[in-house]
Amino acid sequence: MHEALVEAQALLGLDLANLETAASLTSKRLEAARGAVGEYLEEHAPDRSQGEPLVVAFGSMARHEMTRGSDFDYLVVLQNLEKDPGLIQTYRLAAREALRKIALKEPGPSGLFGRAISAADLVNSIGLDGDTNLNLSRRVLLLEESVALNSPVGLEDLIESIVARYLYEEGEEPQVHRFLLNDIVRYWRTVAVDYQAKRWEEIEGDKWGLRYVKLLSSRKLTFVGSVTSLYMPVVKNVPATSEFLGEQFALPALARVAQLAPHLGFGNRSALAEVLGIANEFSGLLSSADFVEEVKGVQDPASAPVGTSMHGAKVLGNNLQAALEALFFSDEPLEGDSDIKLGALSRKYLSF
Amino acid sequence: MGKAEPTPIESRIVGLLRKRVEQAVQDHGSDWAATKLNISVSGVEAVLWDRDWSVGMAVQLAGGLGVLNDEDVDRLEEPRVTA
Repeated sequence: MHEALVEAQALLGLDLANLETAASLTSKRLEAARGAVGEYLEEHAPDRSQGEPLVVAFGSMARHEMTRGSDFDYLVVLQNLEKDPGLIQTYRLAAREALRKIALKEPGPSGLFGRAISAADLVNSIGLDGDTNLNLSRRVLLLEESVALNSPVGLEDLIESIVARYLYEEGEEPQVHRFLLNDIVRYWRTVAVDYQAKRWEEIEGDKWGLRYVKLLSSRKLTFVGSVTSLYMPVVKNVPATSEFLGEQFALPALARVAQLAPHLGFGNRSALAEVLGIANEFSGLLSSADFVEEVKGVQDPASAPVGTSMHGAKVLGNNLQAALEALFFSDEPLEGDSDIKLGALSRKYLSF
Repeated sequence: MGKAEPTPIESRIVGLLRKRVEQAVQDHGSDWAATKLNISVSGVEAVLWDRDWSVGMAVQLAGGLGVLNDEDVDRLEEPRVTA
């Protein structure tokens, strides 16, 4: 489990056993996936060099929250123009091999993942017509929940380049960078809107219930983690550089939230404890095959009867929302000699 | 749209093969199964955790672990009706 979560666990007197289990499982899976990619590339592309395509995994693997049933989505990100198209396919096949080895699965049908894309598009196409839903999703997911399967330094550099683009012509004094924050918020709203839009398009399906639970839990917490990262230069009173924010986005999403712990007063610590405790509960639920089986087929989560797993998840989701509001709209000053209040930051940056 | 429902024979076959696969893993261990299937141990855990095996998955696993019989294949060649 990331050290920020370990520290928060100790400071707040929490039991985050489910998250520890998930982190441990993720570690093993990540090692297996990296091994599979490495072996495949060693055999099929032995003359690799700096600037090679990046094989990037997304989702619970990057968040350190895998369960036994988890697989991963991936993209191959091209750092350069590749003269040999066969090389691009080799890297895609390496990712497929990793997926097969750890989950015996083929990539899903979505156009969002399983493809090769250009790093330049991620850096240069922010906003306006060229910034499609796909491009926005890939860029923000790269920031929020990605992990390298072959070149960690390459991914770090890419993330720092994307952040630097957002910070272009903005100062480095402790601040919340609005351009980046606005895009993070835009993506979170897009996820929520697209959920409803896809339901409208598909009419019925066998995964809506599970997607709904993930919207209430991990997707929301990933967004909150990113907001926290953008607040941290102000919280810590440090320059808001692309290096600092790049390091922030290298943290797993929940660790970004947990890092607040030592900066909070008593009231806010209780709220953060509630948030992390609920995240731990959701982790436990999603690791249960019975729970997943029961919720995934639910077509109308809003009408889930009391006593069902979906109803329980909704209650937990409501509690999480209340705890997040209590924390992020609190007027309790941060710990130490500070005038800073999370509520003031949230009213200023998350409203208009 | 949702995927086609399995036929009764497919559901029985998946159930039967699943039991054999689970027994084989219990008897010989996850490491053995991982080597036979050329996947990682966590891959073995992932497939066993998944409640929703397709016929293809069940046949692949059973075949890989050596617990697929000729009669199982014959049963699968009965005509399939989609919902």
